[in-house]
Amino acid sequence: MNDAVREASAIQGDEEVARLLPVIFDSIADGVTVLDRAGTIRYANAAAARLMGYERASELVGRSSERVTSRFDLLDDDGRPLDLSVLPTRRAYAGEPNPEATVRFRTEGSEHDQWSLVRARLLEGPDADHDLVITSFQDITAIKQAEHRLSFLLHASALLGETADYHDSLSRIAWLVVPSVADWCAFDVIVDDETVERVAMAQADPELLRAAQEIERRWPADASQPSAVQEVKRLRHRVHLRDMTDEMLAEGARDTEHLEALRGMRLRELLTIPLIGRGQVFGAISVGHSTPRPPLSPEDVAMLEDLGRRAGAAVDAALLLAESKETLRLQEEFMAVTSHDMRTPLAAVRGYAQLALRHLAGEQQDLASVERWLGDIEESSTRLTNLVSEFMDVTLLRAGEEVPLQLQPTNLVAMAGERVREYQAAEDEHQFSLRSDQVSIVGNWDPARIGRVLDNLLGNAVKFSPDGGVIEVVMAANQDDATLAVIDHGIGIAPQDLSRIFLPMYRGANARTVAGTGLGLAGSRRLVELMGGGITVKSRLGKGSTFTVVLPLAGPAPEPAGE
Amino acid sequence: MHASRGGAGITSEDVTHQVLVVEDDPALREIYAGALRGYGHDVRTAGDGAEALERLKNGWEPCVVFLDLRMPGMDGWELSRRLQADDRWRDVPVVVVAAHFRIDREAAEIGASSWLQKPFDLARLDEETKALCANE
Repeated sequence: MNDAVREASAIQGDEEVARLLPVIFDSIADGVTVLDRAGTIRYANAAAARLMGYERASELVGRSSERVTSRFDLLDDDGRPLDLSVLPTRRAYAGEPNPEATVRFRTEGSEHDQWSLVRARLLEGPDADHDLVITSFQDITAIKQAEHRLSFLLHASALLGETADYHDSLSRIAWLVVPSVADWCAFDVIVDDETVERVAMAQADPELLRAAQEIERRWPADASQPSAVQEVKRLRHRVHLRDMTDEMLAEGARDTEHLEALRGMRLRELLTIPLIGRGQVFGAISVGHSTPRPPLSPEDVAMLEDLGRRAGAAVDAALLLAESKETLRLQEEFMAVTSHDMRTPLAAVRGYAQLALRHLAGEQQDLASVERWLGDIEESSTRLTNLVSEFMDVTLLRAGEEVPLQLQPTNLVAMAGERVREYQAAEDEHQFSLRSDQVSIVGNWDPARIGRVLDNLLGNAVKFSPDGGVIEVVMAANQDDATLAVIDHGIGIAPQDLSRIFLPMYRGANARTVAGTGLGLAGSRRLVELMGGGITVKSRLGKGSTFTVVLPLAGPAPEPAGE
Repeated sequence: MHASRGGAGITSEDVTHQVLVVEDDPALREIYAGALRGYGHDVRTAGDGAEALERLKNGWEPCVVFLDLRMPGMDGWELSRRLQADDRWRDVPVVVVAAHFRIDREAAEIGASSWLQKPFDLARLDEETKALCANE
């Protein structure tokens, strides 16, 4: 007599419990069946019936177990058809003690996998014909799904960690989502306020993938258009459309042709989840179903949200890395140009000093030459001092700090005239013109900083009109303000760049090849603002630009008392 | 032929070499030319590449060119390409005279014989001239 029978006999003394045994068996979560050697089901509890898709256990009793299991596709863990010899019932009859196996199965026609942990035990009868096998089935579908989600996330994390280029990793993750989680998956990254880049897309059906790529080509993501990506950025939360309707498609469609193409994608369910890193939305992952499959479960949604956070952190890190590399590059360029600019007057100082010393050591001592060289040394030292001061200003302004202003009565007309003469002397290709409605415009400003702003605006006018031409400086004043405009007829600034040219270190798309570091427009604007004024720009691409500085004659407003 | 060096002042040398200085900064142009003339050399100057090509006409042949790279108009890179492309000037040694912090790399890129980073001791102009013109 084997152990199970001995245990069963332990309750034989208790008639009451024995009578309740069927009820007890029906109340447990695991399925239990008893088969004879002929494969006929002799007993099944309620859970077994439920697991096998029957309403009542009595429907199972008397049936052939083979007929019952033929209603399922039995698979191994990798999803291949199961070798039936591994089924514990068969192994128990073959004499193996307490065999068990994890069986993955799918009801015919369903895409939905379930898992059971199957255990079997042989109950020996008086002879082999009367042997019975008791089989129990534990439904471990939820555990298996959790395992798969965990392994999915681990795999995705590994992909994200493999490379700093999120284009590649997100593309591979999209193909991890498809087809195991959804039929279609896309990653969008918000590049800036105006640009959304679709960095990856996967679709299980190759024909639908081609169609989706065509849609992307013809109607590219556009930040100005309402989209699920914009919506999750605004909400900082997922958008889940469980039943896509034609109205929803129409809302996102740009025109009838687009709508028709979107309908062709056959999306029934659409989930868009923000990619979040450090509280910021960097883009979105969207998944959808285009075939009949069970709707995304709350667990799937939670998993995709976790993926959204992991991908968000990866995109954040990649952008930070790119940004810091760019900052380093600009720093290096800044240092290179600054040291270059400083070495030239320094070379003149050293050169004139050496010439003067050698001359004084020689036979003929022409003091007039020595005096001239000393004057040149002073002039070069002044240039050098100005460069160092400007370098200090740039450093302070880039760090977001104020520069110490030295306010004094400053004649804008005289300063602009002097600068324009200097520029004209060094320049043949441009003609400078200077106009003012007044002989002198005197305000309470910092002359060194005014000079720097003038240098920046005139320098820009020269740089960005490479084919030469007229550069006008026009000044005017009323009771309160002075106005100075620098007008060039050069390459101009594209409308989309206009709002950004005052950003630190920004350069328009058509100006990337023009070298420069210096104060920049950002620094100029800041200096003018510190003196109580402002700079505005008007420009047309290919026609030229006008930069207008307005400065209050009284200088910066005094700081409120008590500060 | 021995040349005296350094701080003894500008003296005439036994050997006069023909030297071309190409530099856009007028002060530095004057300084370099003045120093080289002080060492007794025959110096011509140019403010950019195009002017340098002018100086090279009429059979005047320098045995060394001191060349600034960043110049408005025809820059030093373009001038060195033109010199390389011309049989008459291909073998004239070029000394890059510039302020760039990667001047060594820039000099190597244009195949220069040597470089001087601004600012430098003016005696270096004479040393380079003598070294590079010695084989004439």
